[in-house]
Amino acid sequence: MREFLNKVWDIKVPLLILCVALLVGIGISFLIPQPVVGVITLNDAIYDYSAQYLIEQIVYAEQSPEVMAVVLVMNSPGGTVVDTEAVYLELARLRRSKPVVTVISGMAASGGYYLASGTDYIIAKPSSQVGNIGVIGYLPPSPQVFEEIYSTGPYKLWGSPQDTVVREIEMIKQGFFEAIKLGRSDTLQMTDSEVLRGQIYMGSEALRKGLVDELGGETLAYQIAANMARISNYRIKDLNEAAGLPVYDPYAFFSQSSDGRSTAYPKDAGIYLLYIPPSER
Amino acid sequence: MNKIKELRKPHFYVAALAILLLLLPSGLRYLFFYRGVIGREKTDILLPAYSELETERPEISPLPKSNHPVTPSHAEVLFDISHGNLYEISELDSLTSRINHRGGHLNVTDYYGDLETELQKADAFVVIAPTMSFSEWERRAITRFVARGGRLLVIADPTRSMSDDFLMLEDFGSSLGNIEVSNLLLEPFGIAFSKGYMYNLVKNEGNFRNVYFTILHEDQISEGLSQVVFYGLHEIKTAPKPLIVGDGNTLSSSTDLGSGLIAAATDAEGRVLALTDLNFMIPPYHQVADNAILIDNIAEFLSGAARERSLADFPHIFTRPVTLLVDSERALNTEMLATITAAQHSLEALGLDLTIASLPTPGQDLAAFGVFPPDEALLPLLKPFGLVFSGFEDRGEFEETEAAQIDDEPRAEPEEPAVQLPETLEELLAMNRAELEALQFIGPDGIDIILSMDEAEKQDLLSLSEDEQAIVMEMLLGEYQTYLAEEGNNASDKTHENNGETVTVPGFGKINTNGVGLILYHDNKEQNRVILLADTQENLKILSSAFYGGDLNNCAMQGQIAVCVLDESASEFYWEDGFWEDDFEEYNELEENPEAVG
Repeated sequence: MREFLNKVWDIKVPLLILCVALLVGIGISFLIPQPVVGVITLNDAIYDYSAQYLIEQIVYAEQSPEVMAVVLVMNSPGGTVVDTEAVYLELARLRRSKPVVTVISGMAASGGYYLASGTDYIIAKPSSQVGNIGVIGYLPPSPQVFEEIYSTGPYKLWGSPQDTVVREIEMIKQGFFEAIKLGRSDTLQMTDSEVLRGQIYMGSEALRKGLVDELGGETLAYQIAANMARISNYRIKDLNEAAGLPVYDPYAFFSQSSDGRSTAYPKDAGIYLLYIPPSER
Repeated sequence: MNKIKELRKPHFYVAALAILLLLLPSGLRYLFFYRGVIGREKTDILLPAYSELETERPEISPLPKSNHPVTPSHAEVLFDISHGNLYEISELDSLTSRINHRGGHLNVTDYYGDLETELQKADAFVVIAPTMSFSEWERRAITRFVARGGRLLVIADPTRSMSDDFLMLEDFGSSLGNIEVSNLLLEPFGIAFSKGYMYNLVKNEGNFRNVYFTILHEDQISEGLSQVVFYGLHEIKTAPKPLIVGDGNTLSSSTDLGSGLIAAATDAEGRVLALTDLNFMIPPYHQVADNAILIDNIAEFLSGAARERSLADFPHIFTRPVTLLVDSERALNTEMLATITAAQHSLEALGLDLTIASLPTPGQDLAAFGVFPPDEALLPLLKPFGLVFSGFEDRGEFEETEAAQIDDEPRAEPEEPAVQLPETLEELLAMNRAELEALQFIGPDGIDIILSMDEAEKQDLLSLSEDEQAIVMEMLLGEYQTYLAEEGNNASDKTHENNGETVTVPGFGKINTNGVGLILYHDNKEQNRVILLADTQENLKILSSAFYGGDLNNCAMQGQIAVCVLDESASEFYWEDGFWEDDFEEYNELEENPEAVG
């Protein structure tokens, strides 16, 4: 009997050990997170307020180990130069460790395309509006003096001479152009002159021009992002929510007409990477 | 050996299996989620070299010395500001300073003024970015101005295309783009702007719309240029003489195609210059490339020399003080004094002094007058006009000279009128349509009145008294016919019947001198001359009054000669009707003492 018990004990203990090991192993395996494809949505112009939202989500994605890839869902006519550049640089930082795929839902024009060109893959819908590469700027008035306003220099009130602003616009365009060439160097099917025309293309034409990589929707974007990150069985997570940001509520970037309608013009003069539809000019 | 034996013991296998089971879930989960290494291998992302981007600025060249010798031209350059022009004269300092440097004068149009009158004084007319159309009358005046040697500069600029002055539109009606207005103006000269603009994406001056031009066709305007830059420009779609032309990379916004697009052009005669940009004249762009030389050439085009005047420029045919030539051997009668007074007042209004002298004064323009046939003092002055006088032999005071020749043809007998003038109302009422129409002094209204009368109405008229019939006659035949009827019985040389004294005027042919005056104008660099000739002293006064008073409505003009019909009505307006003088005095009183009136 004793021998029998010893034999049973000899079998049970190892089984127990093995079961415990398996259970512990299963428990430990849960420490490996389910990968996440983070979604950042830009459905507005790019300006200080929207850019701040974007940057916080990008930083969150970069710092979160479960976020293995990011899909930027884009519908933007562009925006201010400095905010576009700020987001562009943050995206570049994120891309060092995680792939970013842009899916153009409605429009990626001007500064919007600037951001898209700084991602790993661009997907557009057949009728998305893509391109409008270039800069627009409002020139300051010619310097003058006023009876009741004193300043300490001729450009204290006006910032820069008009001609300087013209040159700055051209300089910003060069930076934009360089970003496009770096981001799309392998696929671009356009001459430099064609790129600089500032034309806006439909998605299908943009594909032929090499401005986008594929036609499709968000699901395709998630798959491609996941493939780039070499993950499967991933979750899709809205990074705005994940980052604990309040629900995005567009701020007044565009000027309003006298009847209260929002126009496509920015309310402040300046230099922009912005597409203004013809009907608004 | 012991260790090897130890490894073969069962608990060793259990331990190994336990470790395997421990790791298996993680491995499976890992393989389930990740198909490779967790996380992406860090890669370098290339960024634009922002720090190396620079603002490129063109080299600003110093203002060049003028290519053109500066001899004061005294040319007047008239700038249009009456057609919603989207510019300010102060923007054109680079151009206006060069015009002033040449001794040219600047003037601007008066919104309420008459453009034709303003152009008579001008040598060049500048129209920049007009947005309100020129009337047909104004366009004709400009065309005539150019035909008389005036220079026209038209600039249409895409950055100054449409007026946004809605108040102005409300007040003054429709507004057009500067292309439409400019093209209407330039149509007679074969030049037309295109609505699109030019650009160059390959090589430009800081922006795609700032285009370099190196294809420059030889002309006064392009003299000394090797490269110019225009800052936002239209294209010229048709032009007889292109001057500045774009290269293959300069494209049109209308077609996105290019090669040979025209940025500046002239008409066939080189009197009309069309430019497609204004901004190249505005600092700092006026000193980029050879723009300053181009501006200098444009200033030379506008003000290099005063244009030759013609009678159509009347009254601005004098540009210097005027010497009025008077024969010192003849006593001045009241008619001559009246003529001199009229001349003096008229020239004062133009800011010119009048000096009376018996000989021409060097450096001054000259005015002279006389009756047919001209006396010896006038004959040398008439030489350039090639007049031939005939039929004056009977006066015994006219000899053939180089300047004016006597025709040897026998004196022409007065021609019989084709239809005898009716002397009575009965004769007039009996005439048929053909006869009535042959009476050239009865207008259609008079003819219609007579033809529409039935017999009863005619009888009613004929039953009137003689005085009443005379009044009806006068009414039907008109005042002029009455004048002829009164004067026709007198065989004096003041009638309008042909007395055989004629002057042959080149371009007009032979003209009976009765009731006729000639205005002769000769223009040259040293002296402008005007000579007035009429058949009688009385008519000379009328002619002089009309001429210096600014009314040449009764004159047919051709080149430098005007032939005028003279009668009393021509003088009444200025001299015999006191209305204007009285009116003027009344106005002065009102100005001096407003309370005294009313």
